[in-house]
Amino acid sequence: MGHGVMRISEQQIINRLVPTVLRIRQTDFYRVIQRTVMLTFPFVLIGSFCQIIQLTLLTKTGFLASIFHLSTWVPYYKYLHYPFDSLANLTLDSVAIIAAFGAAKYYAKIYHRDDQLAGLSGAIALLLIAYEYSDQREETFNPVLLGTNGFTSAILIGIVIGVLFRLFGKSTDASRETHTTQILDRTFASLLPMALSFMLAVGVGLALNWFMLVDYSEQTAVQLQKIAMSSHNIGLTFGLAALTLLMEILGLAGPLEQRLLVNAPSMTTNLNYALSHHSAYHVPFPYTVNTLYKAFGTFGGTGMLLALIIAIIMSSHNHNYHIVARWSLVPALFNSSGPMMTGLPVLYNPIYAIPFIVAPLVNMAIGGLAIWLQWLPPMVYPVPLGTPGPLIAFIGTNGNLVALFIGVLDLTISVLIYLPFMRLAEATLHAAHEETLRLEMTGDEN
Amino acid sequence: MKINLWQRRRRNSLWVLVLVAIFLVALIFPAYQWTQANVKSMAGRHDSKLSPVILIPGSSATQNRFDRLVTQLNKADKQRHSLIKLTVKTDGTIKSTGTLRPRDNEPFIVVGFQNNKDGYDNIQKQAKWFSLAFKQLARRYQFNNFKAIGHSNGGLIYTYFFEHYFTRDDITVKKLMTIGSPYNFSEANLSHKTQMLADFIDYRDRIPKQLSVYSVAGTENYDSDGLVPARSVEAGKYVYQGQVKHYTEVTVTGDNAQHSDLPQNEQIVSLIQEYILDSKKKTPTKSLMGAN
Repeated sequence: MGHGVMRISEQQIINRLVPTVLRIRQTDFYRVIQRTVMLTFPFVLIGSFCQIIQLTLLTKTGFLASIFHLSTWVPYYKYLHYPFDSLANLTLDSVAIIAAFGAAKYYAKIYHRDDQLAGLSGAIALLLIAYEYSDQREETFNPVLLGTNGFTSAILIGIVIGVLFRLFGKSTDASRETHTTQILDRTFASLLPMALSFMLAVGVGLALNWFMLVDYSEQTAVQLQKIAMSSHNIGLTFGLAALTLLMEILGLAGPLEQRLLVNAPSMTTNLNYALSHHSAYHVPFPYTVNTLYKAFGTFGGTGMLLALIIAIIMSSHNHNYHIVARWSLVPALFNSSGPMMTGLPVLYNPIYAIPFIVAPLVNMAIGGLAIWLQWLPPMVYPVPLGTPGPLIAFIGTNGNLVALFIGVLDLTISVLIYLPFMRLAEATLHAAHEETLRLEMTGDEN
Repeated sequence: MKINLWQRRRRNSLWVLVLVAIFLVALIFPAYQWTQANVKSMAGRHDSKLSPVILIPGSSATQNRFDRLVTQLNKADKQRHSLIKLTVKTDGTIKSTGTLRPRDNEPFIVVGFQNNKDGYDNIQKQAKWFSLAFKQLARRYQFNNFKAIGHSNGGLIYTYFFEHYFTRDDITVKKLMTIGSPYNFSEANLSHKTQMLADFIDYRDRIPKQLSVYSVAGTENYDSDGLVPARSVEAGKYVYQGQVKHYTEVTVTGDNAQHSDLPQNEQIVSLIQEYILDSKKKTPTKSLMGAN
């Protein structure tokens, strides 16, 4: 009975929210962003598969490599990771360039400008801004602006280039057949915005180099990470986790980014204490980033996205959702969240922002409570790279069964947290679909 | 019709989910075994009382270089430390002689090289070879800390090793003593830095911070031990001072202060005994040995 009431009210809330979300979805800005994110999806998917192969199988300290002792019996093991290194790095590190291309292209397309040239100009503009000027004759680019960390700035750069094309370019009729002369016409029509784009980009790039703004922001990030790693205050741990989750869904690199969660001083202290006392209970720092966030808050990568995948597989009606969830399941099992972030997309999605932040925090609270009640010791022992989320606490407590149980419990709770938001997102998609159908029926073009 | 399609789609997805879940469950037991074994080996190393002194001889010297030093130290320390000698061949294979005596927690381990020639290129190679020997020692003896002594180029090999190869966080190096090590080769003028010294300074931030370093110089006259300029030994401060916990410079004179005699110089023997070896009071096992 009570269950039925809850269903109805949830449905009502969804019905009330759908028009609002739909309005956000239909702004040009959001459309450009969403298409751009989805353009990066195939690259992120391939990159993520290569990355988990490289990390879990072909790195000596990786999860599958460790538990099956691959380095001791697989022939030529030392050399096998090379092709995956380049594939994983280049696909994932190109994501920002692709995003700049996509944002400029889709923006220009809305205003019937030459989208091809706009996109390419966007990509080059990003590289110009990221270019590091030095007296040495080697070309280096600022890593903060490229790669997955530079996603948001790349989209903004792409949109600015798109705006330049809108303001200074001429409208083209793309549907007409293109002869050489017409191509030339179009090229010259785009020459002014292209030149302006590059000049602006060089100016911004030089200014960044001159004021060392990027360097400065990089150092602030490093400082923040240092604080994050050395903190063992429970409030700060939760605060930093929330900040990280918020920044990640906005496409920025948060202070607790996955690859940085190694070798914190509190971890070493805890480990030495546990080894000296032959027990992990009563370690000096029981509530740290490692024992709470990493152990209970990162199943399927940042934001407990493994839970969203399970929620989709169990109850989604949307065809695309099922496809993305299926392809993302294996990377997410080894904590790679990229495919879900860009495929669904979760990135910049206001609907998923709430569970994305809340689910990990709830899980951390459950883990912290269990540690406080001494149901299980804090996780202090090393966990191999790419360990599946529900097993992290189990391995890190030297095989404590309560930790395994809490891992499964956390996953279940996260699925329940994600479910209503997934239904809202699905209802919005459905409404958007109906809307386009209705517009097509009435012959109204936007 | 539409419902059917949805059910089929959901069934396919559920199959994938079930397969992945089975895979995950199958991983639980191997993961359990791995973490148990890993924690056991970490605890073993953590509980280990072994703290060897690892010595590297200088150029043109073999693994037998420190025999007299060890004899003198054993006499002064009134106990028999084990002496283990390793030679690393040019192809990276390792030959070893000597064994660890039972209840000896402070063995001397000498690592020599088949190619023991001078020069920066060779020091880089020897550091690489030393890292292979070190890996084998760490696996065989399961120690969690060690003390380092390098005579002449041996000190330079150690410096290069700490800057480029020593990345283990389960093993700490407590002390390093370099004896007559020419950080600036034969260059006496400190404003002329050799490539090696410049490289050492560039990578100095990789040297372990909790290390105590003693740089011992010998002198026959006021500015050299007959081979290495005192100024070149002194250049070690640009590498270590401010980076490590303590950096101490000691100059010895008198008998056996010539470069090649330094390892058997009586003052250096007592310096090693005082600064490098663990003091007897702190290790209870040794008082047990006295009772036997």
